[in-house]
Amino acid sequence: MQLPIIIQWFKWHYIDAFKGLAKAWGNFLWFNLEHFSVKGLLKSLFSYWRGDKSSYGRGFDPRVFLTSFLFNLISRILGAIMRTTVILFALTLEGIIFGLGVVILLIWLLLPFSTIITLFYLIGVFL
Amino acid sequence: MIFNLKQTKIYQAVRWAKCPLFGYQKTMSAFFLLVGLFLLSLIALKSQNVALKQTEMNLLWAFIGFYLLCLIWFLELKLFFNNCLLKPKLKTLLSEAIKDSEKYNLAEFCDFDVAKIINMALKNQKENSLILFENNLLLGLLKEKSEVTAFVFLRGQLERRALKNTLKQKPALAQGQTQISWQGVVLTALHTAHKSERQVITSGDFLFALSVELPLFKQFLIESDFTSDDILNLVNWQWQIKEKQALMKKWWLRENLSQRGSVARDWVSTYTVNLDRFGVDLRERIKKNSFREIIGHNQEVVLSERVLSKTSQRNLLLVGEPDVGKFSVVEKIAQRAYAGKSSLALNYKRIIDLDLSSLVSAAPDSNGAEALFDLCFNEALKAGNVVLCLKNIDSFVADDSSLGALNITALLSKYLSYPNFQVIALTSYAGLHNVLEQKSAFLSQFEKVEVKEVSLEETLLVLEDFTWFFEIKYKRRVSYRALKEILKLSNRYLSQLPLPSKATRLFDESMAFLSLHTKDQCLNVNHIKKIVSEKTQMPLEDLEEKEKALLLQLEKEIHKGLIDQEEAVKEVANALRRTRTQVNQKQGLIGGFLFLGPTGVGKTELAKILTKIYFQSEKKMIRFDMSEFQSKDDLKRLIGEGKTPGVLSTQIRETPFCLLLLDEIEKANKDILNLFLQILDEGFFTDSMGRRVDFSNAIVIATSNAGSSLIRERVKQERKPEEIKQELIDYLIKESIYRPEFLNRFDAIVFFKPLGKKELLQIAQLMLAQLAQSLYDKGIIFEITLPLKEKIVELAYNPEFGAREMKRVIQNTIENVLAVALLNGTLKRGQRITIEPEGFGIVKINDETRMTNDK
Repeated sequence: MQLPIIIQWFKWHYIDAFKGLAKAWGNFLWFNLEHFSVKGLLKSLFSYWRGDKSSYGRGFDPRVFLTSFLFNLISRILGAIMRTTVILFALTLEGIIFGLGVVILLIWLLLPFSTIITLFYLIGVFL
Repeated sequence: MIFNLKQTKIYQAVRWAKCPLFGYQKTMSAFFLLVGLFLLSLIALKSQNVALKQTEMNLLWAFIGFYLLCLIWFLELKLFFNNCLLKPKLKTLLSEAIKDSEKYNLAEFCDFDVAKIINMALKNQKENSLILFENNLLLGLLKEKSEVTAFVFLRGQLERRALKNTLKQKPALAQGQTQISWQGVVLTALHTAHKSERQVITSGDFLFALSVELPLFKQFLIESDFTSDDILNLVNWQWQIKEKQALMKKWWLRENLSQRGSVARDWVSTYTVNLDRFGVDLRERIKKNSFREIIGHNQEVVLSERVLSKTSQRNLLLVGEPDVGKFSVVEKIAQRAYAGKSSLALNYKRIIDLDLSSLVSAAPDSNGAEALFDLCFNEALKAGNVVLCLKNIDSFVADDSSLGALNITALLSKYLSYPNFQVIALTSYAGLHNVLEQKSAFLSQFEKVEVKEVSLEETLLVLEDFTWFFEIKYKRRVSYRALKEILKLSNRYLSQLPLPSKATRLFDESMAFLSLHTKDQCLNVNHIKKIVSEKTQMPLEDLEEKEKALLLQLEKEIHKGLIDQEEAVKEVANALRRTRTQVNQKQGLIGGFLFLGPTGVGKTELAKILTKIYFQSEKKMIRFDMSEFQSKDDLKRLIGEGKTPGVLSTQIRETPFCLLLLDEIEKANKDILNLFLQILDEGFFTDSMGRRVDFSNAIVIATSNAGSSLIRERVKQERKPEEIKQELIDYLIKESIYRPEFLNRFDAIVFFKPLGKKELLQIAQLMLAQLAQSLYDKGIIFEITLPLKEKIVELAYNPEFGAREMKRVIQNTIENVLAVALLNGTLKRGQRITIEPEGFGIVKINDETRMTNDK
């Protein structure tokens, strides 16, 4: 027994198509985090910038120690700054994608109702 | 079987497709575009201050609003039709329906095109019940709009109109013809869809099913030199294209998004300046080629990923013949790692193809090169996300003491022991056996994976994949028949390279030939034959027809140059016919024969004649005097030793289309006979450099004088040839001259009987006729007389040597006299002569007018 076409459309619009849109939205949210490697950047937030570090050498030489310590500290700070910048950019973009997704899904949900309202408005204008 | 179309969801789509909104989507889209442009131009007018009244303005905006509303709803309904009505959800999977096909309405599994065509066929059936329903169905499929049919008929170079006409001319079953089973058609289509991993039955599946079940269509295919398997190949090819395009359109899928890669993932890793200079990051190549599909080698990829994902000993050694596709395996791993589809340990790693040769050439000397290697390896180690790909690793770890030779075994071994350092090394079997296996400690740091040649089916897919690229590059079309011919001829005649390399190279060369040397727009079978013919120097263009005719009258052709030996000739001809028609399903050689008989009976002559007939040139005969290979060490001369190639392997690789004549094989060493036992059995052997030497385009003939005295004795006793042959074989086995398994490997053991005076007279005639021909070319007519022939036979006859002496006798008696006469001017153009048999003097016949007439 097949459902009337209008019911089928209703089912498709509010279930299947909505699911599809939500899934695509999820894909974009996932891709944004993956593309900017947010998880990896968070894990290595304070790691050396491009693995660039100075060796402390054998034994203890205060001058070498201090130079290396400062170099490594700068490398880590530089790494943290770069990574934080990318993470912030990625999160901002994530927020935009999230917001856009909500708006698109809302428009999709409200499309039949907004059509009716617009139709009434247009009839009013024409009359 | 239940097949009720009207009770299916897809039938609803067929009915709704008649609605203009759904059925004429393109027209509706064009309409909306035009109205949109009109409205835009109105807005443009307004922006140029064209005065409009307020009511007119309101009306315009209202109209724009209405237009947008209609557009949105048109798009919405289009999406609804395409995604919901055209692709209804199935309650049961096709794979489940296959298991119990009686239980389900199989019409449920048809796609929209099939449903539409069946519906149309049913209607036509109602209108004219005389027409067979299956014919109506095929006519429906043949309609222009069916994408798959258009593809199959265009690529397959099949005459669609001819089939249509046949179907219209013979609409009903012929008398006595069996009823076509509609159930058979549906079930074949169902199983085809399942085998091809489709979730619905497509029009392509029905096209294939009809090619199997419908006699008219079957007959049409036979007449067009096509098979139903070809139809299926084409259907699947079109399906793959369609699927790929559909997937590419869905850019929002994870699969497509992940192909864009990632930024900042390498920020934890160090810079790799030297690696970037001397290596190619495969990720860059992947990005450029936008995920070119690499066909085949799936098993090798699985095994390789397993090795590379281990925690210890995770260096990979890919071993395979040159051009077998070792680097394709690396590329496939790189693709999967780039898209994050590989193992956790491999995902997002950089696979760098280090160009070892450019690295060596960039250094001033071997020490400098080693230092550069050290730098690169160190960078790879520090980076931690690099897998190095080293091609031809054997060339850089060989113990070569020559000047400038580089050996990085120690250096590389040091790095291989670090867990963060990973290498994919590539080598050939020769490199493995000759170099790497000598360094067991070094080799033990790798896990070996062998890369095998891809199958013929996979090669066809590779060729199909290359088709688009070549069609765009060369601006020419390619037919499916040409692809099949490339596959067939490259596999049969280009034995020096593995598949798919030899097929893709032939494809490329054929396309280049087509665009450079012809005005033809489509690459077809004849172009491929011409190219292969040029490459192999074999007249392939019409070989098949020629070869068939030749094989049918082989005896006649041979007897043009060989006297008597009827049984031997018949046996060789029969064996060749059996082999070439594949009646005995033998693999390997074209044919292998052992010629037994005393000296001078025509064994070598038959081999020469066969070479000339079969390979069109006597130059195609490779001859070995096996008495030169009597010791065990002589085997090395044949197959090579170390890097020195062998005489047999070199000659066969250079001239794969040949007749290999092994004279006096009984004198060869037993180990050498074992080599030929393998060649006769398998059709190939592996030389000292690990290369496969292929004999699949060769005829092997071994001659033997063993047991000659026995033959002569039995001939004197007037025994039958068959009896002599059997007794001779028994004798050869008993005396351990040949082992029974060696004799059994030959397609035929051919017995040559000793020649009598009668046969020798005929041979004398043959040889003197050749001499007469060469004199005729000089304008001199030489008349051969019976007394002369008898004299030659008398001087040449020797039961021990057969006709061997005859050539020498003719040389010493006749040819010498003629040469002197030509030099001193006594013999001139236009003269007719004969030789008197007693003193071998030249006798001139004064009849110049006869000569002119003869000419």
